[in-house]
Amino acid sequence: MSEPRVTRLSIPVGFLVRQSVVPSASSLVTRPTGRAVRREIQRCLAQERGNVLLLELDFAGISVMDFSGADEVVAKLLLQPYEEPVPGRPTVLILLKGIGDPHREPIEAVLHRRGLLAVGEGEDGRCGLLGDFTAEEEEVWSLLEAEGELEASRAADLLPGRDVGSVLDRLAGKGAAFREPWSGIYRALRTLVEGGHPASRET
Amino acid sequence: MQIVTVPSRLDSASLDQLLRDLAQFPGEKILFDARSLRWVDPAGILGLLAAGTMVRDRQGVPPRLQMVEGAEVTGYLARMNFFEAAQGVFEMDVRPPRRVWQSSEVLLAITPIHTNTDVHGVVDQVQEQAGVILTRKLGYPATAVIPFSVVLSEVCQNIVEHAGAPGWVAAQVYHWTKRLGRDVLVLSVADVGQGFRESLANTHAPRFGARWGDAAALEAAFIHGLTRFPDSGRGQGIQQIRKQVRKWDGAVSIRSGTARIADVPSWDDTPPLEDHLPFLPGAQILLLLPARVANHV
Repeated sequence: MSEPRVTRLSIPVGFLVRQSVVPSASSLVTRPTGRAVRREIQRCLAQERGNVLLLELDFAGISVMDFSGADEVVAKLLLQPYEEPVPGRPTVLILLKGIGDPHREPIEAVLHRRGLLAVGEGEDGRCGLLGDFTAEEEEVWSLLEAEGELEASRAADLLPGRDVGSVLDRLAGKGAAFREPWSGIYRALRTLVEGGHPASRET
Repeated sequence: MQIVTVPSRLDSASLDQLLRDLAQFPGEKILFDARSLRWVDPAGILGLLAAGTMVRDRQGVPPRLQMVEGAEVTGYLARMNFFEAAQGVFEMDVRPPRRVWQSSEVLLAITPIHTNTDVHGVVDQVQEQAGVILTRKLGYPATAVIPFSVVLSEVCQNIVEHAGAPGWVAAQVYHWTKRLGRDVLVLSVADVGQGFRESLANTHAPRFGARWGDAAALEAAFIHGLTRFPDSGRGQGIQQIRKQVRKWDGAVSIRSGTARIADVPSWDDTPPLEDHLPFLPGAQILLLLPARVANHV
């Protein structure tokens, strides 16, 4: 199997908010605003090509985010990154960046409500899981995050007595980890951001 | 023409009396006599605007509103932008005072809400003043500005998303000497739209059968988080407002049609659910956020 091309798309959400509402707006509030921002992101995604796309949504500068805004942008993009599913488009992985106090609670609430999870990078640059996940998923994800990349067998050695492979598959299925189809290695999303993946490029 | 007296103290409770009096004259021209009005809070002001709008729509022309020129309450109403908001709702003789002093107690003068851009405007506008009021008057931590802004956004959005008609928001701090002995932020949002019963009727009324009405609709939205949208992500707004207001030991109530539902803290004696009240068009959401006491919040 050939190595897929991993592309990266960084979107400053605050810029889209200002574009959607008024130039001075700094709040991601209301469903219509959230919907407008999501559709603009989906419009950008529709132009992307490749096999795997890492979408970085940067919330730095968003001073207030309400539950409607979080649901429209974060939860709905995790559920359906493309407005219209078209075969051949890249698989989308989402990393939430610039997550601070104004964003954490609404994002956690909407993800819990929909049974979703996401990887969020705080303002200090550290990543963590947000939303609906088990203690086992968090433990395995934390290990992956610390290691950067893991083979299932090595993960099983590090966490003996657990079905680590299944948990890693589950995390990859929920978009919280990336499994290289050609090698079977699991990678933390941040390693894709940091250019740790040999085939990654920024768009 | 029938004369309906506006209570001298107009708040969410006495508004019911005004509405009860109005209900006696469903087809007649109305004059609102507010000459004895001495005190009014955001719920009372917005309720008066809603009642005036209901009468205007019914009789085809704005009803008259009589007030005493130069009275202290007239100055207060001017500070709250009542005269701007009441244009087209009431026909008034009284001239608003030319010079109006701003008050540090007013968090948000009456602000019309028509679109989501208005909600953005309100959220951005209150940031600085909310910080001052929440920390200095209510003793909340500085970080409370963010959840307060979220609550404000969600209550205002209720108008844009569900009412199908414009509305208003207003907020002010009072010192409740007798009732609580503390400062309280009173935040009211009102609209003259379809109300909860109508908004939810198509999707939820059949399940409730004969029990369906304003009270059942409020229970569905307030307790169970139901909305008219099939999307499972909807209906979070009211639930999150309730959760946050509980953290602040506050009260939240919704009045719509002939019913009112409320989360009642220990310091309040409002019934959690009231039905068969006089009709109020649209919906009115009322939040009461009391000053923090030691070892709480």
